[in-house]
Amino acid sequence: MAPSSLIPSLTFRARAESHQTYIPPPGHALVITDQLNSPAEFLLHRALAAHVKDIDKSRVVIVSVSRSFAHWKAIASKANLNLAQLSTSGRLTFIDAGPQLALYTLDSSPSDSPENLTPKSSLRPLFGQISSALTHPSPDSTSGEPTHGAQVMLIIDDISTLEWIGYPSTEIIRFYRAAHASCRKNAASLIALCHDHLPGQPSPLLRGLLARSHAHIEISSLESGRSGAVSGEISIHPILDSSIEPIQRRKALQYRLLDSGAIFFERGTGSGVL
Amino acid sequence: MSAFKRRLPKTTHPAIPGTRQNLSTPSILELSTGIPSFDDILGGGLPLGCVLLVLTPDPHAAWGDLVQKYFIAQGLAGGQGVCVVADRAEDVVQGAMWVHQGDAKGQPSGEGDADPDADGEGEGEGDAQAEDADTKVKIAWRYERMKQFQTSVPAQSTSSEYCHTFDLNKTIPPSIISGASQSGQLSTLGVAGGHDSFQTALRDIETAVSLTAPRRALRLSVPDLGGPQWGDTKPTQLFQFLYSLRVMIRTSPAAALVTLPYYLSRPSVDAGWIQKLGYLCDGCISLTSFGADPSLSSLFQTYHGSLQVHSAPSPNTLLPPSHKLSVIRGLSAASSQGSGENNLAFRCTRKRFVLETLHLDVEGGVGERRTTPRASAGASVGIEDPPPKAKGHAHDIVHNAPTESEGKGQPAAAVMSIGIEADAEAEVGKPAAVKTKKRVAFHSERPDLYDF
Repeated sequence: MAPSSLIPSLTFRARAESHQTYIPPPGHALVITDQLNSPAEFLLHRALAAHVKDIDKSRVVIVSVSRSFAHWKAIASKANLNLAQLSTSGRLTFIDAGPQLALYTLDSSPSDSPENLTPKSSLRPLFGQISSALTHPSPDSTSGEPTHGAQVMLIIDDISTLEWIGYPSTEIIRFYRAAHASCRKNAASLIALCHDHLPGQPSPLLRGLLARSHAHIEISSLESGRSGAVSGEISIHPILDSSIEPIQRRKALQYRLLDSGAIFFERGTGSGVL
Repeated sequence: MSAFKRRLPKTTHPAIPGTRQNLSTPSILELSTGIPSFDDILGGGLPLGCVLLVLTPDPHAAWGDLVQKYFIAQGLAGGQGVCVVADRAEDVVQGAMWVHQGDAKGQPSGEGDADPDADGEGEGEGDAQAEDADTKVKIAWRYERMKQFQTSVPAQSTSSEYCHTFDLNKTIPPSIISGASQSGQLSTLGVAGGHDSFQTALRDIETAVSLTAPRRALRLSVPDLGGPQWGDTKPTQLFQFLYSLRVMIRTSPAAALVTLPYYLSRPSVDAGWIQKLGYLCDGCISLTSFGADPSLSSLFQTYHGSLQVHSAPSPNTLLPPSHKLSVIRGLSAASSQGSGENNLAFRCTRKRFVLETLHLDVEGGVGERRTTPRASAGASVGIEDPPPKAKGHAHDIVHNAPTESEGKGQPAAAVMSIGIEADAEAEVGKPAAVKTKKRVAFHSERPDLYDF
């Protein structure tokens, strides 16, 4: 079976090695942007499946801002991945950022002052969790240190929500930079999803993220509106890594989202067209 | 005896009453919104653990409140917990609609969305019936067997437990409200106001969610979130509230329907406002009234507004059930391979609120009927066209009318009035003749565009 890839034509080249890989090599940072009509969540799941299936003893750290573990588990099960099993074996660390970012806290008594309930202006606690997960395997890993030194992938779901719920964009960019630095130190790759709420006018946050990334995968919706046959278009823009083959917007690869994943095809060759 | 044993599903009915399993993703339990066509657009219903946001940018309409009332009424009729978070929550509940008397006993309602004119909205219903009796329209054989064109989904023939059939003429009986309040089925949470109204509301909602009886779904209804009673609302506060609400209920058997006041429902609030709202909630839908724009309201006389689906709930799945299952949206591969999304509209009749596909009226938007029945055609009484043109368009009448009024030399507009008079005379002999007002297509003073 051919190795699963993020996007069929997308290959990466690690600095030291000459062979190509289908998933980002250690140290690489990849930013994925999407639009409301064409969510890029499926790419995160493809990256997760490709990383876990193709690399032995690899580990994944997922930081989920907007989705629950049950959601990730249900989708991964369609790709024959058992996230609960991966989690107990220490290959997966799932950090659910929702409860600590939300306004309410479960254990706070009503007598708390409102200041305690507002989200903290610093993302340092979240970064602390990420960095300890990257350095050490999950504490409940029973098999000692077999995963030490294994290739790790850090997936951050939904960075833009952090900005919308009140974190300053400079703080988020610092958080991203720190996470990337931690990834480089631990031979991990980084994939971050950022929503593009203003297509064509990237926000300061998005510009800040892109300036520190190796490549940008842009998922855009069709200008003619939603369609049953084409879910969206993918273009790839290399930034720091020039070895990545670009896909320009006018030659964008189209895809159709299914329950189990996505089907990619060139423009004009979709099943509804041919 | 065979060693094989048929493996049966463990439970065929959902554990929580009033919910049902989604057709495409059985792990999702969904609640009905109370409007069958709305359920269809969501792909079956509002999934538990999801927040649905309905935006209504028109200041002069209350479509958001109407949807909220359906949501509440369905919860009270279906036996689920209902929690209303609003400044005057009691008023919202008291104004809700209710089921037919017959439907409450489970009898068929006999009314469906499939027949859009069934409730007598259009004037001159009697005319249509009289004409039906006179001349039955002959349909070409190849089209005769096609099913009737439907713009919406049919309502269920019986008022089921999942989705009751509500009647906007009926108001919810006070005894039901008081009974539900006493039994804990219905709870209302006020809005504290002030700078921490959002935090207080979240804490109250959290308590309400934790107090819900086991095996009972909870409907959270938040009308006018961020309105004047919530204090000076900043966008960040609103986003924090929506995000926190979503995080709070995503693992609980609760679903929330949130509406915003009109001034927070517009894209002009902030750059990318609708997109942000769409990402922060599970589903986001706009009900834009045509009444805000005179040209639109005259163009689409049969609809009250258009509907846009910005995002649809997709828990535990990549592809929202709405894309796969919605008949009205028409995005599924089975219904339309490769075509785009249907234009959607909504209208409110005397009895119900319907979401349906948007179509232009016949021949590009003229609301009046253009063809006349042959037997009682006004102007053609004494003219007798050649057979193919007998049921012709108004142009035919205009063309032929001068033969009747020869020598008078009047413009076309005047000719039309003569035609009506001629018909009035004809009516003397036929007392049960059809009214004249439907017969003439053009009332323009100028000659018709096609009148060469």
